Amino acid sequence: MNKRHSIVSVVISLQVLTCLAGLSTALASGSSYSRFGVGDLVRFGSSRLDAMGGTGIALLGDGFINRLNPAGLAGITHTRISGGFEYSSFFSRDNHGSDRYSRGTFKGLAFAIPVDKAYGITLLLETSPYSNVNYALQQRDTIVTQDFYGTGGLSLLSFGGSVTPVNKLSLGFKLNYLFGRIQQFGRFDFVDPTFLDSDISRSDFHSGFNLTAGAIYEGTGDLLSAPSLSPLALGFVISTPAKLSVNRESILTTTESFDTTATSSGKVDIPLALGFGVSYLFDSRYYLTADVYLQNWESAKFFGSHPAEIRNSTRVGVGFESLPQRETEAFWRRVAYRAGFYYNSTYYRINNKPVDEWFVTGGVGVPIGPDARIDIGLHVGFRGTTADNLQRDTIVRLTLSLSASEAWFMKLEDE
Amino acid sequence: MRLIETNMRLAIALCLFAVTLGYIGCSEDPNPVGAGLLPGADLLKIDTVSTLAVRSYSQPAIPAASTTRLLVGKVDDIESWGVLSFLVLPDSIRYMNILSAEVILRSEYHYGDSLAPFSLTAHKVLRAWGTDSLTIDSLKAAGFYEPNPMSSLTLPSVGDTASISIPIDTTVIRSWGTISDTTFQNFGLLLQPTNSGVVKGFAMFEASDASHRPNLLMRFLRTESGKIDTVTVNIGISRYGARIGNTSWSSDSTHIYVRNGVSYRGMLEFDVSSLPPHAAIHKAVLELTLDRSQSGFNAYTVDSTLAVFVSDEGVVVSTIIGLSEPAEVGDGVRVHRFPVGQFVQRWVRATTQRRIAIAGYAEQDALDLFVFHGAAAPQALRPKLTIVYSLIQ
Repeated sequence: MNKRHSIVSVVISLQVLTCLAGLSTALASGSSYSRFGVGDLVRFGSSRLDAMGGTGIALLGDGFINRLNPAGLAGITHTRISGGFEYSSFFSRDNHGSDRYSRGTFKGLAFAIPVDKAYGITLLLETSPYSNVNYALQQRDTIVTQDFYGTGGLSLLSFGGSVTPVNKLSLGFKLNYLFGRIQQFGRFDFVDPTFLDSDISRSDFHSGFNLTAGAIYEGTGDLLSAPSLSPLALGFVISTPAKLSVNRESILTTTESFDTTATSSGKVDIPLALGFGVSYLFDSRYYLTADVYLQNWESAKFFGSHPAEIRNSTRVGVGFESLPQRETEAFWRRVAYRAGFYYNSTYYRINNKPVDEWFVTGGVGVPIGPDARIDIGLHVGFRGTTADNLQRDTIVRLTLSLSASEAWFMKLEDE
Repeated sequence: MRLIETNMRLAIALCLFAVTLGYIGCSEDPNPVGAGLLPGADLLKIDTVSTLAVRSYSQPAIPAASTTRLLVGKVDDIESWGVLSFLVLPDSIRYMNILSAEVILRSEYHYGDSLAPFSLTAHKVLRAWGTDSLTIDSLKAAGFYEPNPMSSLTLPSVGDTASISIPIDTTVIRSWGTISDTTFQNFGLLLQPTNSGVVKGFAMFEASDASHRPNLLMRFLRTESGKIDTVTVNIGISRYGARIGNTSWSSDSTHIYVRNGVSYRGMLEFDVSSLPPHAAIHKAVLELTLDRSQSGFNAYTVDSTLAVFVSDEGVVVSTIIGLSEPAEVGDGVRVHRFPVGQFVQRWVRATTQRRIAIAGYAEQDALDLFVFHGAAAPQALRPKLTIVYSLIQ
């Protein structure tokens, strides 16, 4: 199997995954917390990074596309494509009961093309989910049954690149187009048959731009004249605020009418986000990573006012990876093993109570070709609490990424 | 290489496994778990507003085309004329020696004195007519019918299950032609009441019991045998036109008059500007208080009335209706309650006029009179509209 065969197979597999994941999402349900803000925020660097506690801001290297920090692209030596799929299972519980639901979602597609390895110049085209709204709630009393549904979310379409202007310092940027439709439905079904039932649907289409810039510095050891710090890399990433334009349409449906009750436009703020990361490579085989990621949601306004259910978010994670051995024929030695942990103080503040989550992660990277790999990541964790009329989610996420590379636009001697 | 191919298969298998997982356990049914998270603004807040009619009046109307009864007679200031035509006369009657003919009608309704004498005259109709718009004025118009009756009938009284027989001039039947004629001349016969104490209702061609339908019975002589035989026809069309004498109903704002058969309908207008824009209407009930002392019922009365939606153009939309539920509300006060939620939904969406017509149930089959208190009545008796709504955005 040659490289071309490998990347074509990966592309076909990704297309199949994309189509089927899309269908699956249409049927699925998720956490009720996604009712708020712009939904559950998705932070996906790759299945590799996902398995390492979602950390990797300071990871620079070949063999994967770092979607957390565009500076991480500078280490890519071959044109690379990767895409992912996620299966999520939620077990939600509150003071009144529990329920289980699951869904499958497409985790985006990234395409990185190295232009000049010496200067770390790599171009990136990427599409990723940014947030996810998926809930189905019911409030029932003796008068009316009220069903609430939410679907949709925001996506990112990014174009960017990286450069290494000076030795051991890589810079990167991405121009992000954020877009997506969030739809919320209410269905009001009265017990008394003489009452007329109604449906309301609200559809918000968001669109806007922001910029992500990042840096990775690997020269700490040289700078401090400390050889033991040579394997240390420091990473930094910043995403500028975005003011998304939102076109809103509300439609009230009754037995007699189909009434567009509101068409309006407004702004939704996506606030400044900052991330810091470190990575350390032991024995040229074992990576240790740690990230902190902050987002200033307290400053965000939705249609001119700050929602009470939104607060600043902070995510802290650590990760570990045992790199595969390339020289061996033993299959399990060619597999990368990963583990991690993260704590996320989410941007939700419901009923005036913060909603936090923590996860343990793990995964493997299995070679499936000369330079193709399937990465599997697993997250298991909890979100929220049943106190204060809230909901506790036990969440299992299984991510699957396919990644392959091929030499494009490179000089023959490079290849 | 074999290892790589094996791993490629593994990758595809994992893809399929992941997709399968995606479908397992998918749930889209809403459930109460997490409902405590919902902000209060998401939940339905039901409100109620009541409003009284700002205007009421009564106006004559043309009853619907379909009728199962032919009302003929006079009582008090009500007068009703009937017209009917037997269709599909067989070609065989061209060659028959028709000895006599009669129309047999079965009584099934009366309004007025059931024991009062009943009489009428039958006339040949001279003009074509339809069942949808004919009024008593059309029937009475000069040239519509032959002024000289072909027959007359006088009976001391007619029971409500009795049949009457009206002799028909055989030359008139000849003039009607038969089914194969290319020129239609069969305009039927007109029944003009000549009594004064009762209006009788006769079952017509739409009657569910075929034996109750009108029959044109013709007796003829079979030339070959010399015996008398009969031919009957019971397919046709009918229409009646009724009127009431001069009334002040149209100018009376203290009452609305709903007179079946004649027919008169009540009209109500409301101001719903107090409803918030884009309100979701979940229920609306119109309450009309009956004035028993002025109403006129009998044993045949169907104690129901209809609220009918009226478009901006003034068209009574007979497909958007609310059937009343009469209820005693104490002290002998009877109220008709109509579900008019669909009306109000339309009012707040697409109409500028907020009018409701009140008609009798099956108004074309009877002569009952429902008198309700109108917009100028004492406040407690006025037409009242109660609207249950919410603002769901």
